[in-house]
Amino acid sequence: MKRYIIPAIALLIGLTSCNWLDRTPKATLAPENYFRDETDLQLFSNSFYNNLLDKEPYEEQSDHYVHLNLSNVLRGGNNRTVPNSGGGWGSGSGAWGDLRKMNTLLEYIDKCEDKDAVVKYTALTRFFRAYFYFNMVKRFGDVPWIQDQLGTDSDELYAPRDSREVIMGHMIEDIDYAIENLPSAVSVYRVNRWTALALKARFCLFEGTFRKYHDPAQHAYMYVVPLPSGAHDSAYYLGLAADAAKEIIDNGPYKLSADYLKMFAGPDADKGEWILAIKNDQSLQICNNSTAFATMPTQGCPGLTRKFVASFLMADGSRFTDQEGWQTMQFVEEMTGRDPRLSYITVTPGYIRLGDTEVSAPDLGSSVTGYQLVKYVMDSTLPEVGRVDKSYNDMPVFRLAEVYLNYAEAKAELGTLTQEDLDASVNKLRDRVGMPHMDLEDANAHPDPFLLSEEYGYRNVTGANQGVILEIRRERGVELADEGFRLTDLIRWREGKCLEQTLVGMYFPGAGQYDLTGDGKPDLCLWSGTDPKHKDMVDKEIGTDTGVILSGGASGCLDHHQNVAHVFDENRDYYYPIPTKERQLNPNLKQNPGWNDGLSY
Amino acid sequence: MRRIRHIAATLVLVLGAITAAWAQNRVVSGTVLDTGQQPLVGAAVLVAGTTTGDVTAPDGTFSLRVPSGEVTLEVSCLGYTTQTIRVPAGQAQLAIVLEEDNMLLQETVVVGYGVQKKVNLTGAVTAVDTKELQDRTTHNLTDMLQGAVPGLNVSITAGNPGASGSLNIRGVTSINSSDPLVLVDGVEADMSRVNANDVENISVIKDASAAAIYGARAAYGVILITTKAGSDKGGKATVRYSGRMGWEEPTVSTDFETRGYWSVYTVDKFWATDAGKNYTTYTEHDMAELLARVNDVTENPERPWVVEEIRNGRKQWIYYCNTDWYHELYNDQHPVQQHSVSITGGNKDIKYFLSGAYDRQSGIIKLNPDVFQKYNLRAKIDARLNKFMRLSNNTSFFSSAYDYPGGSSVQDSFAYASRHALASFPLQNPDGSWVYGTPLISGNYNVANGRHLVFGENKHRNQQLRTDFSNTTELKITPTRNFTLTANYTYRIYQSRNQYRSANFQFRRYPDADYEYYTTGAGEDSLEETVSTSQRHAINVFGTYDNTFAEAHHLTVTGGMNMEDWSNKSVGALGKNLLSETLNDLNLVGPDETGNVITEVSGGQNAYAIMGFFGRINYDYKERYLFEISGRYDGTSRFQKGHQWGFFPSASVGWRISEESFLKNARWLDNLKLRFSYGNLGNQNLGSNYYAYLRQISVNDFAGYSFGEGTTMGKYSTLGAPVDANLTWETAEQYNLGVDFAAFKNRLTFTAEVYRRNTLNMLTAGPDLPAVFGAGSPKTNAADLKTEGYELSLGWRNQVSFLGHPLGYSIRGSLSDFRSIITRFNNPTKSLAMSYYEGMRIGDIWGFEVDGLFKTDEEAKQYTSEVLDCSYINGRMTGGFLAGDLRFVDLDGDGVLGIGANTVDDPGDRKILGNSLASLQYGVTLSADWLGFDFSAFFQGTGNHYWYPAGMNYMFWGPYSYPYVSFLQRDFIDRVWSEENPDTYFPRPRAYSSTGGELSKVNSRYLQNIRYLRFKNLTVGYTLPANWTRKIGLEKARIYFSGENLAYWSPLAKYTKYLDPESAYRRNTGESAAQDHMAYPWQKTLMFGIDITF
Repeated sequence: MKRYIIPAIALLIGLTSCNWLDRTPKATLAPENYFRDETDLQLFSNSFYNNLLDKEPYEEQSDHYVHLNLSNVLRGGNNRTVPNSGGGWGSGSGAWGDLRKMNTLLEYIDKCEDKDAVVKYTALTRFFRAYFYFNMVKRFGDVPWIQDQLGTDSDELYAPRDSREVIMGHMIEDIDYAIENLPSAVSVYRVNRWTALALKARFCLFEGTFRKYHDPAQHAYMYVVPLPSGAHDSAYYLGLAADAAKEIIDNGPYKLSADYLKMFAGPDADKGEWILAIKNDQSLQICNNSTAFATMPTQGCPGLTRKFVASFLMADGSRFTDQEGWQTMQFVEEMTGRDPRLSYITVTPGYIRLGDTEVSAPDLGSSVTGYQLVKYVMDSTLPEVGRVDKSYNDMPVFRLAEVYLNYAEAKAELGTLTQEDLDASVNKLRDRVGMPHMDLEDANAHPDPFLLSEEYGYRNVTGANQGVILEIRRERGVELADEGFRLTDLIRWREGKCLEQTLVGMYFPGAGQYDLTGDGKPDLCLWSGTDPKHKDMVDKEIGTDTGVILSGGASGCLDHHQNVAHVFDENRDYYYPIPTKERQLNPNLKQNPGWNDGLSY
Repeated sequence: MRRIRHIAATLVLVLGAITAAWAQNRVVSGTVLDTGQQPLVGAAVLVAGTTTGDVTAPDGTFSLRVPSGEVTLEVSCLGYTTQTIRVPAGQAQLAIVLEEDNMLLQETVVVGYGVQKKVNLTGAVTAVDTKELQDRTTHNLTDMLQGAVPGLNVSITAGNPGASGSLNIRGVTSINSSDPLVLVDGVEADMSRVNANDVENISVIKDASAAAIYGARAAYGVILITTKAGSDKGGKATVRYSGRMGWEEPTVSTDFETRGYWSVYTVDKFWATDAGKNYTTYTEHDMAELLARVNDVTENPERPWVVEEIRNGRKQWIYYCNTDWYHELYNDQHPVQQHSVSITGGNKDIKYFLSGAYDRQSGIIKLNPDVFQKYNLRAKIDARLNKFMRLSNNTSFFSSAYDYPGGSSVQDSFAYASRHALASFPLQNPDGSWVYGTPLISGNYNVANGRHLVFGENKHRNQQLRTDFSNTTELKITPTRNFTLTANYTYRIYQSRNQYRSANFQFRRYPDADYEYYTTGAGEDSLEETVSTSQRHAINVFGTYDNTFAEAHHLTVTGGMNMEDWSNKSVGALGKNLLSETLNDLNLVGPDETGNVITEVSGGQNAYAIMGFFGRINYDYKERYLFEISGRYDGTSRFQKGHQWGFFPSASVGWRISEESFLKNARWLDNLKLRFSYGNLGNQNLGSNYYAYLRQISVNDFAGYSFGEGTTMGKYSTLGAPVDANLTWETAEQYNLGVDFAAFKNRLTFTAEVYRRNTLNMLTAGPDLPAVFGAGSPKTNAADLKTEGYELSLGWRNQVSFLGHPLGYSIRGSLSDFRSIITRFNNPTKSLAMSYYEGMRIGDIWGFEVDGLFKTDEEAKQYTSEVLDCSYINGRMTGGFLAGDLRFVDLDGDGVLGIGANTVDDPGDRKILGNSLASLQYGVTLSADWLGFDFSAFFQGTGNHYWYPAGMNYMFWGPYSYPYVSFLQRDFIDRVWSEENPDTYFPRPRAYSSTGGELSKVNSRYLQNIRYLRFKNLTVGYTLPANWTRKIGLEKARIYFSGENLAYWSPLAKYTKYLDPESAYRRNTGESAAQDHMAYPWQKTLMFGIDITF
């Protein structure tokens, strides 16, 4: 027996003494062995693009553009509540989780032996850190500055917010490092030096106008953490914005695309005009929903507001709203002889979709205001693009047109705008679509009463450049329609009350048949009483949920949101609230003004 | 059922006639007594090999006619040993004495690393009567156990071929992965891959004391399966063949709307309320045409179903069909067959067992059916090497193949096909082209999402292959009578290989148009192949010492060690644009239009190891006082060094009161035992992260991001979230109190168990950290759960005389229940936004209360403007509330419908409406045998449990979900509110209201109680008399019918007959949306079989 037992025991001891329970991962890497070369750094930084960039900018609702259901931001009031957690202040991707990744990379990056790569990816990471903080400042105002990977016991976890002056200071340091060290070759899907300049122009314009319109002297409540003494003024930021934009205008390799519409509806980014874009790819099934969103009745029914449509100039440069009776003008007449961009952005009479051969009337079933979207609608002959989430046109992040507009606005707000500046910027946008130039003197001599009206315009624009600032804002709205800028613009201009303005659509004088294509034949019949049951046109009952709701009952503008209140609280809604749970976890976080989260501190 | 009844009646007639023809020409009579000379009533006296027999009267007498010449009688009585008596030709009077049967006392149960006498068990172990499983036609062993063991919960999660249920013992065990450990012949295995015919016995170990010997893997119960082995039959081989054939059909109705008119009418009505216009472009004239054909089951030549007309300037097909889409795409009945054969034999030195099985199941898809095939092989040999050593080897092989057409999963195909195929559309145009895009649909939607093309063209050949091979070699040394040493080594390798093929398809939209091609999604020309291989090495060495001292003190000591190593590796490759539409190989990947060859690859591997030292001591005094202690010192690679090892002890005691002298005279009492156990087990199974204590860098493809560089998806690397390096075991401490009772010669048996399990240190997110931390709070062992429950089983069996022949019958029932409460979780505000809170009962459903539908528009307007602000729920309801909409109740009285602070203390207008976990699980088995016939019926069910139908589940919601349903409940519109028909269950018609509107808010009106009672199995068989079958060389031959899932009763059936309550329950579990709302239907199985032994 012993001859079996002893070897067995020996075997047992042999097996247990080797490290039987050691099982190290074989398909993943340990952090100690990573961050060694440029590939590692690039792969680690790639997720910043995916996580931070807005892939569907056309979805943002504002006073210019609404869906079937208004967003809670638009509705305001009780529809905006303090969330318990998340709300842009989460720990994951799209919020603080991204910052952690950036700080992780910056912490480990020196392990890479390729020092050029270290500099390049440090610059890239700092670009995205500035991008990240810009998003946070826009949303919350003051936020804590964190530049390290935190541990579970780090003091920073429980730190108060830093003032926006501190954050802006760090952002400028980051972006200047990025401008200095990123490559300057054109690279439309990757961040380069020009992207960094464009970001700098964008956030410095934001901060400059924000400080100007939310003057710390008058609106101290907007600065939850008071600005330190000696904080920079709005002119400082406006100057930085103008300089950064000017650098791109003067020395950048970009020029405007010739075709406004195809730039957005075509499959690929315009490498001449677009500085940074999101790549969509049909063969890889990286798609967006832009076409289906605009053309299918089930995707939100987006539409431009009548107020926004009215702000487009006539093709001769005169103002549409200077015309008598523009408020009750019907669709075909209203759309005739306007800034050509109107027909690139929304369905106008005679509209033939790219790829189509026949004229389409605006589809009231797919657009809540009747002003159906066109801008990102792809060629109908391309396979699959009409299906939900099957559009594969690239999406813009930064493009030269915005740089022009930022430049002109910064200079105008600074008071240093010249006609040459306009000609070097916004007038190039006008040239592209064959619109007459913006004239500095003329604009300032005749500020647009429409854009100054309480009903449709801005309240806070004053001073010598009042007229041209209004014109630049008009131009910005038109040129950058559906690109996700509008809400941020209203916030930095302190024009939140614009969200309370009318959100109606097309005007109809009452029951009857309407031609919407301009061919003289009716396409639409509005009825009440007996359903006419037309076979050759769309019938809609007036005053019903399933038909049309008109602002005046039997007549008026399409007013789907008639009973939906949309209010803006000047003392609250410029910022988002800090989630309740976060304030409970860190009592040093002060809540933003006006937000009641029920906590007693 | 009618068919079955007819067949059974014929059988009885024929067999009765044959039996009557048997010559019987003398009488034998006598008395049957027990050893105390008391007459035995109900003893069966049978002429061996026939059905001729008698049952003794209360005075123990019997009398029966037998053939002339010598006969052999078999005398049997419950609780007594069966006797065989030769009666010479001349003898007519007999006095037979039967001895009490001690077999029941000797009955053993397999426990960890050994067997124990059932009467001596102190833990909660249930042995499954595997004889009852033999006739079950369920396709895998896991599903067969549903309802068979109290406390063992089997959730059958899908109805598609090859799917099997999931197992759970004693309710919610942990908020992490908590499957029981399944060991087949001592090795961790997949129960659904075991050939049910191979199974000798199954022990379900439910409490900690009995499971403790398995330590870290056994925290949530152990199921031990032992397969059959060869036996000493003096060299004679026994061959058993079992074959059965039959068909399957859905357990639910498939009687969908097939009338084009009603299909179009309903879909348009729902669509229009949401979109303001019709879904279809059928004109009023078209509707009249459809109505004219509404009763045409087949096409009437006077009213063609497809008409060519010029519309909008071009030729167009106008479809006026009455298509039964469901039955065009799917079969109700589809064939199944199962065959198994085994050969056993041996002598005292060498014993062997060989078996094989084949199972073929066709699925429901009609055009190119999906077919699941399964093969099992097992070979066991056991050889005596010398006086004290035996060597055995056990090899098993499993292989399965599921071939099916369609997108990545058959569930997805089923879901996609169920949209946009209105009954008015045909599958094909008159010219033979497929109907896909049609101008009759106003949106950019396509008929059945093209799944009829996918099924019909047969270019989408998907295949899922599984193989599982296991080999165990065991050496057993018995140096002395009292000591056995066992050592075994097992190697197991199992692999899954999948092939997913999709190809372009073409269709025609207009009669005069060219073919169009669909080239993305399901129409993408691509082939993906994946292989995942797992290997396991396991070594067990253990010894057992067993002895009895002074005929009173019985001691058993078991001790040993176990080591296992598991690893897995996967490889995947995908290529697009294949050069062939019929051949499926990655060698055929070609360039796309721009010359790019698009391929993707993926990989991955994981491993873990465990090691444990275990021991157990059993002691009993005269089988009256029972003690057991056991423990295991266990290590796992899944934690950081220093946290890898744990010790898990347990102890249990039993008191067999029936052995006490004061009960010795209670002769009716066979067994009464009280037992109590306590144990503490670990759980190392923390989900699929095998290195949870490490931060790892992983490289991944983006789900949808590219830098326009090359033709592949962009890649990124990421560093795992911060971890708690101190992670360690979850522990489950369990208390179990049990009673076993048997009386009247074991005719009556009863077992009851109550238990409490505290699952401690469940691995969950640690204390919440401020979000600026930038990652989830590292997981730590930070939550506790308490589960309490009970299990009861009660059985009665007896043998009586029926029409002069012995009739054996039995009835058994089991019942179990549990409730689980979170006892520690870091959620101080009891926020409902977090998954758990202290004091929470797992499964609670919070929702609003609805007290009816608004009767008038005025009531709706007045209520929602003056009584309750309902803006919270009117997301898709511009125009406000109208008659026929839901009237929500203001539970908190604040005038605003809402969720308050979303905490338990301030839930707004919500309350707990019910619990989603079944409150009871029960099973009842009835069986009887008489005159060679056998019968058994098995019912299984659950008590109250609740379900709020998933928004996209349109077997429930119909067009309230997605309006454009292919499979619309017949006459659904009659159940929808309208001014003329206001007393309906469903509200005002409105598309999408269950996915995003008012019906998507969980509420009391549409909450479903999905308790059910299922007629799980019926088996009726007839064993041919042995003296006939022997004439043709068969030892035994039996024919039978077996039906599985024959019927169910459930409150859900009142609201939908299209949804099986079990599928309803499972479909709402966060699987992909496409799967969630439509499930491959549950099947019933009807089979006829034959068993032959020779």
